[in-house]
Amino acid sequence: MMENLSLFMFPVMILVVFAGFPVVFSLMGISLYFGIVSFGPEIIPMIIRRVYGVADNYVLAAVPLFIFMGTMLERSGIAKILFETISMWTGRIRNGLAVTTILMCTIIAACTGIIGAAEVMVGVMAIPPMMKRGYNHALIAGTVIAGGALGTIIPPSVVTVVYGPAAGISVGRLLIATIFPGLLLSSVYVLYILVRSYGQRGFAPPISSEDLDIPLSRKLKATVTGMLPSVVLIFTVMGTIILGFAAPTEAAALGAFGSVLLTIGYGNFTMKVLQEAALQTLKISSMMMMILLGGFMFSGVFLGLGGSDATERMLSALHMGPWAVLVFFLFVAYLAGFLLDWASILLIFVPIFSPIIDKLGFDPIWFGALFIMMIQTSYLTPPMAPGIFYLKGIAPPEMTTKEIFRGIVPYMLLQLVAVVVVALFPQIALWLPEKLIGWN
Amino acid sequence: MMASYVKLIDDLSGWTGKWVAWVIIPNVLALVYEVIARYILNSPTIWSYEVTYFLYGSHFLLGAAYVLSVDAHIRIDIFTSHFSARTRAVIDLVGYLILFFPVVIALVYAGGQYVMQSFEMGEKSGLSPWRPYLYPYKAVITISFILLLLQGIACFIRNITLLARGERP
Repeated sequence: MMENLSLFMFPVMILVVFAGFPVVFSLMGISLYFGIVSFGPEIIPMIIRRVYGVADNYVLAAVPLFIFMGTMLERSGIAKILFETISMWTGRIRNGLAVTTILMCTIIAACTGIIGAAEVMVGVMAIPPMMKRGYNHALIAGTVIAGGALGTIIPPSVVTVVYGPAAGISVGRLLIATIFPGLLLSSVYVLYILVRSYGQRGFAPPISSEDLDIPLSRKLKATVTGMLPSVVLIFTVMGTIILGFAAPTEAAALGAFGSVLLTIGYGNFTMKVLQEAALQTLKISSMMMMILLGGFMFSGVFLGLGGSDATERMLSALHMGPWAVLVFFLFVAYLAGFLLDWASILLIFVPIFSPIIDKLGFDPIWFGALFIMMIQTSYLTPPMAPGIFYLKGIAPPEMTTKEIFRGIVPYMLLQLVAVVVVALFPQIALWLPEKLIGWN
Repeated sequence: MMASYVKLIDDLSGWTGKWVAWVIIPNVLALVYEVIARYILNSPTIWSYEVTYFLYGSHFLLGAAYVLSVDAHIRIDIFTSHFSARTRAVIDLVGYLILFFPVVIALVYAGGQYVMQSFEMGEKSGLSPWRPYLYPYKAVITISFILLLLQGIACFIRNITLLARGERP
């Protein structure tokens, strides 16, 4: 009886959330009612203990630090220098600036933990020159949005930091496991842009002569000085984690500190900049962590009601084999991505899915990588697509909504392709952590 | 009078937000110091672990009221954004009454009890050799929910005034 009650939590949650009341309080309120009906007033101390469980979690403390690193980097001026450096090399290629966009987004995603930071930073730099050179509008829109979304999977990523505690697995290991899937995605994007430039009418032409005149020695020197700060930042965060030198939380703090130093170094640091970055950090982290609280309460009550068994019974009644269950879970995450933000998807579904995935004998780290790749699509699937909102904030008025939607489609498909590849070849995710940390 | 309450609480939340935002700086510095102390000075601190989550938890929890005051908690408004402002105000009022107030009041109440209990027991953290008292942190958590409740009441009143007068105060 109680178990069946647990399955009602989802339709109720969907109805309430779509009424437009803040997701956090919807999740908390529903947890309270279902909890009271099943456990009586005992639920009240239980939910405040869920709050303590989030509030004394050392690993989750990395989230605001990564966010601060991102808000600081946005103001550091690093994007401009990266853009100048990379476009020096890609100028001769067809659709070269679109390639630049993906490469820049990859580097910025590897420096910061937040999604969308790269989109605005890179978009502001790359959209005007692409428009000027007559790039296909849909290509511009799709590339900038998909590039921004790369921050979800490319480590460090707050999504991964939150996924670890939600699934009960090591964040450090998962961060390392997502390196190759992340690089796979950005390579697939670059490949697509290059291939497309040959099949497409009105492809974007290479830059003509001006940059071919730069002598190679000067080009190399500019590249070293331009890339050095990013390389150092990437090492400070992921390098220290990989070497076991620092915990992810410490690595996040080192990265945040580095991003402040970089801003000072580029001469863009003022107290006002610091204050703006700090206030934006508070806004994003509080919003995100509160959803986390609501999600943990929701899944706590759901699991307390025996929801995990109920889900399993439902799945076995449908005669689903292990792989069918896995595909079904990923598909749920994909569908949810059209309407929900990543944090809600992750915090509602992962605590429920991961015990079942464990029981079926799948590797939890590998499933984590697949799941994170899957919710990356939530960033670009309308109608709830942060990627589109950000783009509209920076796109020129000539770019229509229809072009934006059309631009997203190929990248959505490419993401699915990459998920299938990692699903068929688990070693893409699992080889590096096994090599570096050893077996689970 | 209601309007002055709303103004007072909005100011309070804005002020807390502005100050709490700075907590991220000691959070970064404490961790950087810990890494330096461990590898360069060869003497890791005993407080880094606890101080880190004290600062992180205080940061996002005390910030929640500020985020509510600027209406930045995520809403899925794809269906409701086409509704009139009045309809949305009605939805919000119902949401506050049925969802927000019961759960936030429960959190304030249960949290308050835990603070008293923690204080009377002299509860200490068992997560590190430093073993700090836990009641101050638990008090901060409860204060966060009190601030959130006050801001919720302010938002509730704002919606009522909107319905009554057809405009925002």
